[in-house]
Amino acid sequence: MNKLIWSFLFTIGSSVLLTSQSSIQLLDLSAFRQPVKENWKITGELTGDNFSGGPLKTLMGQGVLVCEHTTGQAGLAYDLFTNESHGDLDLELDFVMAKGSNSGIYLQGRYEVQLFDSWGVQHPQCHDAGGIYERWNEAKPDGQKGYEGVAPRINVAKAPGLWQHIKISFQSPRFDATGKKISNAKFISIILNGVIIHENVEVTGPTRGAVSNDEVALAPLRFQGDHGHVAFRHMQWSKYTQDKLSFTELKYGVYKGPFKTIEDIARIQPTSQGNETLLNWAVSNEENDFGIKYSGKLNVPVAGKYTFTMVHGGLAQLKINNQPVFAQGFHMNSGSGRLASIDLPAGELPFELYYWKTDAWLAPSLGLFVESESIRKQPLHLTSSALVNDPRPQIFANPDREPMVLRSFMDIPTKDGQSKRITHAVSVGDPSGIHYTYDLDRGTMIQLWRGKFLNTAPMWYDRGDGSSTPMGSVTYLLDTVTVSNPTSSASPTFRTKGYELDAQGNPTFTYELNGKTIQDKTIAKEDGRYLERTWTTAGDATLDAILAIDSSIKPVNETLYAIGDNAYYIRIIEGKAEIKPTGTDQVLTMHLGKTSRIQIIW
Amino acid sequence: MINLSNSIFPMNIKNNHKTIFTKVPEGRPFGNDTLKHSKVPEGRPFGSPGGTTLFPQPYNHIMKTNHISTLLFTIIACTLTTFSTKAQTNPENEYYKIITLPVPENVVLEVGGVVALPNGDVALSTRRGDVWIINNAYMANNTQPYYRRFASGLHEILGLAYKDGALYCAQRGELTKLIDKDGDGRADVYETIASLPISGYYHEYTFGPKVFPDGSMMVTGNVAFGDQEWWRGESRRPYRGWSIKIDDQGKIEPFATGMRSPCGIGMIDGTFWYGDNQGDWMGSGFITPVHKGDFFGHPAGLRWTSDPASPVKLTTEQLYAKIDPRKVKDAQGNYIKPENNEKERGTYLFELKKDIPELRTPAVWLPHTIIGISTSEIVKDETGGAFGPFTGQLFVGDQGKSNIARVFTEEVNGITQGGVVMFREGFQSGVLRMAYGLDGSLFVGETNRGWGSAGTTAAGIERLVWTGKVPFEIKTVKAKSDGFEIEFTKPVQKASANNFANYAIESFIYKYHPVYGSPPVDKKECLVNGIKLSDDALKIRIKVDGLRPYFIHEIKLDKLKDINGTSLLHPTAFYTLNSIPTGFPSVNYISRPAHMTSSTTSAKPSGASSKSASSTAIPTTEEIQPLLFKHTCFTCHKPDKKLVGPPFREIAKRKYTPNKIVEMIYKPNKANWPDYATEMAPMPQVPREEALKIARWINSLK
Repeated sequence: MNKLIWSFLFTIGSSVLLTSQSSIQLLDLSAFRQPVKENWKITGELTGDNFSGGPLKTLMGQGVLVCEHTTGQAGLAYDLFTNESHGDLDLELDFVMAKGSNSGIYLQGRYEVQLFDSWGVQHPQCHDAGGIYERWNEAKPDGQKGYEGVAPRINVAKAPGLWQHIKISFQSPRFDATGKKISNAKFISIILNGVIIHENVEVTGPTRGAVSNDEVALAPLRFQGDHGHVAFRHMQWSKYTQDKLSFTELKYGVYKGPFKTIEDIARIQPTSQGNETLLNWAVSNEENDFGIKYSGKLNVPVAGKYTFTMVHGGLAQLKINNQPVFAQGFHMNSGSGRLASIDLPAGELPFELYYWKTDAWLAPSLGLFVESESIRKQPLHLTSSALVNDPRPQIFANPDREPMVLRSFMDIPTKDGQSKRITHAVSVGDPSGIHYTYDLDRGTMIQLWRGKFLNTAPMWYDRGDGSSTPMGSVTYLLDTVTVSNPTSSASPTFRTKGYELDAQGNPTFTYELNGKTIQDKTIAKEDGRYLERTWTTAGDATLDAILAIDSSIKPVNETLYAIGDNAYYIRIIEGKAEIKPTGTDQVLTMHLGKTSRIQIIW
Repeated sequence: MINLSNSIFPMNIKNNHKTIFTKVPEGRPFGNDTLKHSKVPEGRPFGSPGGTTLFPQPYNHIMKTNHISTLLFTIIACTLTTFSTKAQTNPENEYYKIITLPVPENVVLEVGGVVALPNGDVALSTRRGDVWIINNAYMANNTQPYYRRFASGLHEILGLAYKDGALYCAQRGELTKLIDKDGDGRADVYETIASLPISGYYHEYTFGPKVFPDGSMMVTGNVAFGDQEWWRGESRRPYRGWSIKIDDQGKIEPFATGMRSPCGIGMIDGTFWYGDNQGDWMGSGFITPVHKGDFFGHPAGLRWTSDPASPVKLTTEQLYAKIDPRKVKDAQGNYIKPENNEKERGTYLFELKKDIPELRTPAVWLPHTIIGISTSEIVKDETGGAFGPFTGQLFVGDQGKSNIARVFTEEVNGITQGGVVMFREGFQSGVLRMAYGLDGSLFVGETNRGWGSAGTTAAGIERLVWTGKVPFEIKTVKAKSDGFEIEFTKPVQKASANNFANYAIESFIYKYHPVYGSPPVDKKECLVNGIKLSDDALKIRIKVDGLRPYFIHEIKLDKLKDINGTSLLHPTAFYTLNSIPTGFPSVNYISRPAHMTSSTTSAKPSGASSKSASSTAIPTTEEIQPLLFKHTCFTCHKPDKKLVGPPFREIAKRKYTPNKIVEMIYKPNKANWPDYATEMAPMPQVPREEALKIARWINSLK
């Protein structure tokens, strides 16, 4: 339980969306306002060298939206607008930046989330990848024209030519009946490469380069195409109306006693009753041994599939439209709550909720959220009713002036969607903001990430579970022994010997394979743009290293390989690598001589 | 439903370590001459290139400020705890003084290992994975200690040893050697001596190492929990629940098993000693020497006894053929947690000895809640008198109860046994590790994260210093064929010694069952029928009726006075009588007067079975306090403070009926308190009327 909460707090992986998203199809350009300038085209996947510079090279085909920018082609005409307008919006897509490139996503054509080749930037500003671009006042003196830009919390931008992922939750400005703005546009959250870089950021008006300086309820989405080469794919969006669900004649009755089941409550009279507009457990005036029955009508604005999320401490049961949504069940305020979806017609539907509690150790809480394809997740309870005080501290480990080496258990995802605990893991954090985890049992680099180093609260709060979690944008690498001795007939014997720190604090790992000593050292380079990994052996044995296993390993040039759908690069500095197909995967291997060196670039 | 898998287990961070006294700088073994060692040698700091031990002035100032605030806090804390097990002025303080070392505010010093280095520095390992070297730890010249981080990033280090110029520590899954190759005062080589299999469950703590005279090292491993039967310790990887011996080349030799939570570790005269605490299959805490091939009672580690390397041959099936593991399912097919059945006699651990030759029963039981809750370090006083009058005796730390107990042992018919007396309470936090300093004072490393402790500070390092005054104490108890010989630190007043009313002896034992802990059971009063005070008045021979082998004999002498009329500082000894010496003593006892049939009051009725319809009056605090002491409630509970268990006031908020509270005293339910790590052992020994009184008083607090 603790574990779940901690991991939810600080990294959000690929989000599970219950509401259905729709795709912006990239089979052609028909989703966009015509005419579309020739700088935009639909292509197939990336190919060749997109790392070194120039326009993005792609295959013929469909699914990828590419902008090839020519110097001097500036102005709105080179941007791309969707045919459809939007208000409240969740947008999710992949993008790739060419070297030195600059682009942006303008919500409602007005509020820009900056896209930029910010690879290796140590202190990001609002002009860097994921920044909420500044507003602009031409009347001010130079140097003061830009204002209210918001830099991302941290820089997690990847290298040119690699696919990156962004998810934006946007709330449009609100207007009263006279058209007067009553609330600002707001970025509810922006998640870049799996890391929350903004939460609840209001923008007081359009940012610089907006299509217009007015603000409206609905307007098209806009992609910037006049400042550099960029490509997009996997565009998904959920557009929300401002419809709300609400209650009519919501009555409650409070019952006193240690109830086991609803029948126990149903057979007695309430000690107090009343009317409310939102759910709130506190009407009980008790912390334990009480039951509340809510009954009334839930106003459903449009027919459709609705997803309910219920959080509570104790027992609860929910029926809507006389259909069970949540059966009688126990919950401990933990995780993301109970989830259920149900098809509902429009109209005033019967609503019945029981909440009861007999566990004195559990804090009372009651919260019910609803969402649908067209309605953004909204509470049907008073905010305080779902809040449980949890005074656990944040305990983070971050390298300061030198690398930080920290052992813990480390959980990594497995292919079947489960997770696996690496028990002899060592994580190494670099002050430049790139980090990796090494498995001492196998001589394997299992993951690397960019961002903050480790959340150690899972290990250091209370008894702890011995694990820590990366606080950044994680790339999973290998889950196998790295070095093998293919010519040895002896069954492999692996023995770790530990590590030694150099004068800068970087560890060199040492282990023995069939009695041969192998040293394995990794250093962060060039402001955290890449890791450089060096193996040293006596050179007297046939030793092969597995550099990568993936369904996609593409040679970019003689020494550079793009791994896993352009997730990261491996560059061979010293040695010679080859791609070997094995089953459904490809394997990038390298023979280890006395010294062998690669770079891992992302 | 409730998933309790990760939240409910007793902790037991236990322990490790005893300092390896190699040589003091003068080149003589420590402890030969206390005067010589009363001063801290002024060696160069451990691992540092030269005498760079300056304490920068600004820092010094900060530390002082911090120290003052710590003091202030302590004063406030004391005023808040007037209703506590210890009065504000602890009489122990007159004899053994606790010196709290100031610690930099940003350092989380959750101590997992302590070593006094031969150059005068003190090394500490922590649960946060650091190794600190404290320079000027003895604070000679009344100056501040200086903390230097020697190593960092290790995985929950619960032990530290110094051997051949290097520090060794046990991490979760590894025995590691730390070497400062370039002499800059920081370790640069983190050498894996042995990688230890581990499943990654939180309770799989690893303790040690303790160094044998031949240089090999002992490490112990905690069991895991967390299957549907979350109450049952498991050994998921080879040698969890074992002690293993590891040589410098990393060769692992499985040594002994049957351990549950072996945080208690010590190297005593070249023999490894281990201590465990109450839990499943463990009735109460204890300590015992460990010999190769021993089995101590917890079944988890038996999973690996079919390995050719295993010196224990007993299998789980063989054990379960002799004792029911009570793996019982309910109608829904879910396992039922075994609970104590107070109507059933049960089995005592020693009774299995006839069938299980590998079984080793405790040398000395440490009665639960009275002497401790979670056994930690075991050290031997080899200070030659610098630590007071108990040279050669053992001192045993306790994390939950935050105290140190004193143990004296003897061999009877080839079996090690002995007694325990409380020694010093009132440490600021859970006592996890102890090591004698070069001056014969005792460094005490502390932590209570996750488990709570009587000392409510989260962590720290203290030093216990003998004031030079000898307390009136039970020095030793020795078994005799017809009773005991009790030796005192000071001459006993003759009239007091010869009064039969001043002796109360009863014996009891614990059950061996899969339940968490055991109540003391099979209690019998032992009548003292003869008394003989020695000529020097330092020893008393008592002739005792009804001695029972393997039982714990509680010897209570609270009315006894020394020649100055002073009572014993700690009047009760618990002697584990594994074996009764043979022979025919010829002692001129004073005989018991015929009119005295019983030593004290009559035996109490068994609590759980007796019914009561007593009044519903709420007892006053004055009335209830003696009951809370008598039944050791105060060991884990305070009215308002969270210790090992919840505050009484929190219990009151639950609005249980008095009968429900009584029921939970007899059969505690861990699931009611998921935020508390240590499970409560069943206490059916509390008479129902008294339990009801306690319950009504608790409920009056809300």
